[in-house]
Amino acid sequence: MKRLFFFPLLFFSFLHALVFFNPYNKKNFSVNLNSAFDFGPVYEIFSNKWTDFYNKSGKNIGYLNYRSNIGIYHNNFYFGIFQRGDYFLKTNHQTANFVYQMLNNHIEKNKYYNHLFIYLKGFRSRGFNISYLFHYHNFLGFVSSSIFNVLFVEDGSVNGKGYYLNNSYDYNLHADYYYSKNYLYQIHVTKPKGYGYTTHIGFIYKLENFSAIFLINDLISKIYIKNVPYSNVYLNSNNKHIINGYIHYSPMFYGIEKYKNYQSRYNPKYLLQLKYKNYFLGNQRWFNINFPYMGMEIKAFTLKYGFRFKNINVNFQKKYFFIDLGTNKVNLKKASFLKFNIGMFFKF
Amino acid sequence: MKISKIASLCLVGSAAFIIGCGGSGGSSSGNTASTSSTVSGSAVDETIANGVVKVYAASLNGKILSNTKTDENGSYSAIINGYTGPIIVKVTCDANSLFIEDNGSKIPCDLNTSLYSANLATGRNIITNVTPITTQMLIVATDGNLSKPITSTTLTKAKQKIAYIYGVAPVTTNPVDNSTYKTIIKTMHTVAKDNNTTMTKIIEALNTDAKKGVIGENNLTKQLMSSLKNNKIKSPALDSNKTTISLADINTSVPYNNGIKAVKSVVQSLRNNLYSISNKDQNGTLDKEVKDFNSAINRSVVQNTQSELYALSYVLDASVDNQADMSGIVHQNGNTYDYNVTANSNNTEFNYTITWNGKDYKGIVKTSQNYKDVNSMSDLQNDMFLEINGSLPSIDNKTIYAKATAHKNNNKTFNFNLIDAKIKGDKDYLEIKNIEIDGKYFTYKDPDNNETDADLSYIRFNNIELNSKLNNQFEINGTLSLNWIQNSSINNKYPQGSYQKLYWLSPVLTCKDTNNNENTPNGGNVIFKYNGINYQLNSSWSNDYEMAFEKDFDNNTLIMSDQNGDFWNYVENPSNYDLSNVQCPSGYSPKIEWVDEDIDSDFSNSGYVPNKITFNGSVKDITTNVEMDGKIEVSSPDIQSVDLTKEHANPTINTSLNVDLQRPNYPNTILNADITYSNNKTAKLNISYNYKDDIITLLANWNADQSGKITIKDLNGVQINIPVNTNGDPKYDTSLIEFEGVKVGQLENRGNNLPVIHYNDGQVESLN
Repeated sequence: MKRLFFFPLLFFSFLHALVFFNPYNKKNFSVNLNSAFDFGPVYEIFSNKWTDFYNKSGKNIGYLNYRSNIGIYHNNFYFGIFQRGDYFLKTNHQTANFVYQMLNNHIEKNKYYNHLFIYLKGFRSRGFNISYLFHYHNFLGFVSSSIFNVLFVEDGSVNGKGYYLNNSYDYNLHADYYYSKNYLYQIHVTKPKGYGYTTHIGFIYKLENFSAIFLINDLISKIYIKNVPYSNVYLNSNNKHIINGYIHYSPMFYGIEKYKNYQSRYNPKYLLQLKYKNYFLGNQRWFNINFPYMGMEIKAFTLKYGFRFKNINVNFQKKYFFIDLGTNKVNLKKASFLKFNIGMFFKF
Repeated sequence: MKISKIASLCLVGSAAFIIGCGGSGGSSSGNTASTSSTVSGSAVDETIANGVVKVYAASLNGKILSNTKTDENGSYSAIINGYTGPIIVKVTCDANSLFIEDNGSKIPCDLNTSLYSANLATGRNIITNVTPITTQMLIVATDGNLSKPITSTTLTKAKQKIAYIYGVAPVTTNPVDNSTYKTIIKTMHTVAKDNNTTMTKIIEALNTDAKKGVIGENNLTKQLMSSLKNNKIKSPALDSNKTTISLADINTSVPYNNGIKAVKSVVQSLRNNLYSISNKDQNGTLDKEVKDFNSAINRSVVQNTQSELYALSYVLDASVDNQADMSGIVHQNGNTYDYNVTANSNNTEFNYTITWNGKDYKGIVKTSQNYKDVNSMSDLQNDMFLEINGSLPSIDNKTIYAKATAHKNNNKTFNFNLIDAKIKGDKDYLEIKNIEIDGKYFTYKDPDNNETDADLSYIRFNNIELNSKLNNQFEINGTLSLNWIQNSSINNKYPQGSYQKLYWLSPVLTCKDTNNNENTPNGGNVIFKYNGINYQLNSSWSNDYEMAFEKDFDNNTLIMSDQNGDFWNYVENPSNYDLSNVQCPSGYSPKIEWVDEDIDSDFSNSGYVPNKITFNGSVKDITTNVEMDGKIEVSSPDIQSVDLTKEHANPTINTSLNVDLQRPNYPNTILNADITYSNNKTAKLNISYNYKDDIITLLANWNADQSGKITIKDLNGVQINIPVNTNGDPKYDTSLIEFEGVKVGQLENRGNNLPVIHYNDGQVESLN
């Protein structure tokens, strides 16, 4: 089956903003970690020291992708175990700004935040993967199937309005939220466990000076989790109402908190890359967000530029080892895009 | 006490109380206890007047704990002594019993009427209403054999099953006031009438169903269930589409929805009332009212009257001294008052003019001819009289009218009566009537002239009538009554009278040689003995002591300047010092120099302090329309014995309110509150108020370490218990929220002082 690995450089150049599973990368071991935010530095956000706000109008997103694989190749098959985390966050500029100002205690006074919105979805899972790899003339492909345990789930949204006046917040928020850990407010819950399956497919077409890669991760997937902590709650700072002529104070916090069975799926990731000679152009897509990129290969190095986060990636591949690093700032602590991938191939 | 912190939660409770209230599981046979309890409720089929009520211990074959009769409203109240455990209440009719119909007409009670109810006797007040559905409940609790003893477990389950069917807590919900309960009983009557039968038959049909374990099998009960549905009675059973209800299928491990609804109603009432007390509601909150009231008193009584009354005092001095003409200039608080007083020939009418800021303020003071100052008995005459009428120098055009009499009873006591006093300004009006003051003089021998004289011993205000308006905002009308008691510690410390001179002394420890040259001590200290107390004087300049010295009443001369005086002689007496510990340089000996003194005087009132102050009347804020009518009483049971001469003296103080509270946008609330701060630093709070058909009671106890417990209860069976730890936070894990002894939720923390109740069905709501 050595012919399956004729085109080593093809199989890691697609590594850009998102983490994809692709058995054609011919690595027995790999670790991938990608994260980016439109509104602030990755390091600061994850270390709860968010001090720099990056202005981006309109839709703001953030995500964290990580995946580790250990596997072996046998004939046309790849057998591997994996652990992966895929978290996606969508919000808007005013919400990101409101949260940032609140965390830093300098809310802009007398400003009305009429559309506070955060959507978060993500899973951490661990499982087994089996992939069938094939090729026909210049055409390569794979079909992959995984079963996994779900170790962590976050799926929910917060909507509302906010106002800051005279050193106090005024807000009305509604949260509809499944979670392993509640990031909105303090609550002790029993962490749920679940299971699921997913499928990936990929196609690669290769000519002498041209190649094309098309991948879909999580094309068909299903996730089942029992007894997921669920909150459908309202948070109101101003809870005073007049009912039948009398003042009535509704609770500042109310709703439903219970354990519910949960079904969902992984949102598919798409990748299309075209390459001519040493130059390539591609796009990744997840949650209807595009992550276009371009790049070139120079001997063992591959250089890439991502348009959405204006990030530079450097990839180095030597025989059985590759490393892939990316950032959009020299000062890594201030980078809103960070990427680290490493992989190894062992000959058995 | 961290009452304010808990005010936002204000929902806390006591583990001990939970045990006392039975809880779930286990059998509970009757126990003897030394306390007595009151079992009370209403007997309603029709309302049964003059019904025969018997209270049994655990079984109808058990001991009869109490016999009583219902009153004409169907209410009964029975005392049981020395018993805790399940009780059964039976109501029957005799020849004197009557049914009171809705229209008020009275008909003879059906002698076959037998209504039952049951509850757990674990507290002082046990609400146990007696109705057809509590009768059915007892059938369920005894598996159809009414002579079988009930236990807390069988009773709790039976209560839940009946509540599941009818949607009300059968025993504690008031069948007379609660609209749902009333509709249920009315529906029973309608079904009886439609079927041309009696309520007794309806009850028998219900009981037959209960014995069979299926409700709705009988034609009458089937119609009843259908009619209840049509009459919009909501319950899990009625909401289901089943035509019959199997009692065995009712899951008693899950509280029926109405339990949660009842707790939510109590929490809602707390939220509404607490916000109206705390400053959450900016319009008309009680703490805002208190703040505004303090501010108004300060502005109207303290700030805006001092200078005026001071100016007036010079006019009165003229009248006291019977000076025919008196004039002068007074400087007070940056103001200059130019006053002039002229008297009539009898020296009984004094026309005054006070000039202030270029304007003249005039008035007249009338006195009896024998008018003198009341400060000393020798001046006080029989039946003195004083009347003032005029204007006062003030920024708000104050006028004053006052009429007072004083009467010396003998050489020891007197009465002073301020018959009427009115002070009116642009924004204030204060009328005080009938201030009754009784006082007493004590007699002493003046050491200066060796003559016997008398000085004021005490004065006691007794009753005051108030009719006033403060700062154009608060109207106060009512009476203020004071009870007095003599505190032994003050009386013992100042046995000779009410005025005490306090000398602030600064002794300095120094070293002197034979030529009276001074040097600094190398160390050590001196013990100076005075009046049984040892004062340690250190080798520094910071020895300041307060010493009460009861002599020299008539002048304020510095006692140390009187080098023949008693105190001089005392402090100069070497035997009052132990100087052996002082280390002086060689050739020098220790010496005490008394270099400074200051004099103050206290009026001890011979230890008389009010032990009860009662205000009966109304206070209204005319700007917010918040009004409080009723009685406010502050009392101290131990103020007589607590040592009030010590700093931070801490007598037990009890404040009680029995008031009708009227606030805009709030239903009128009858508030009863009792707050006690004990001298052992514990505190107790007992508040109750009405809310819709319910009465909510909040009990709180705080220990000296500020831990405590708060319990909230209502008449329908809600009990919220929240222990509090020493920092004022609730102990979430041990909190308990129950309805009729069944847990319906748990208090949990959602961070940032956001306590919530997490109900068993998943609902959650914050307390604030």
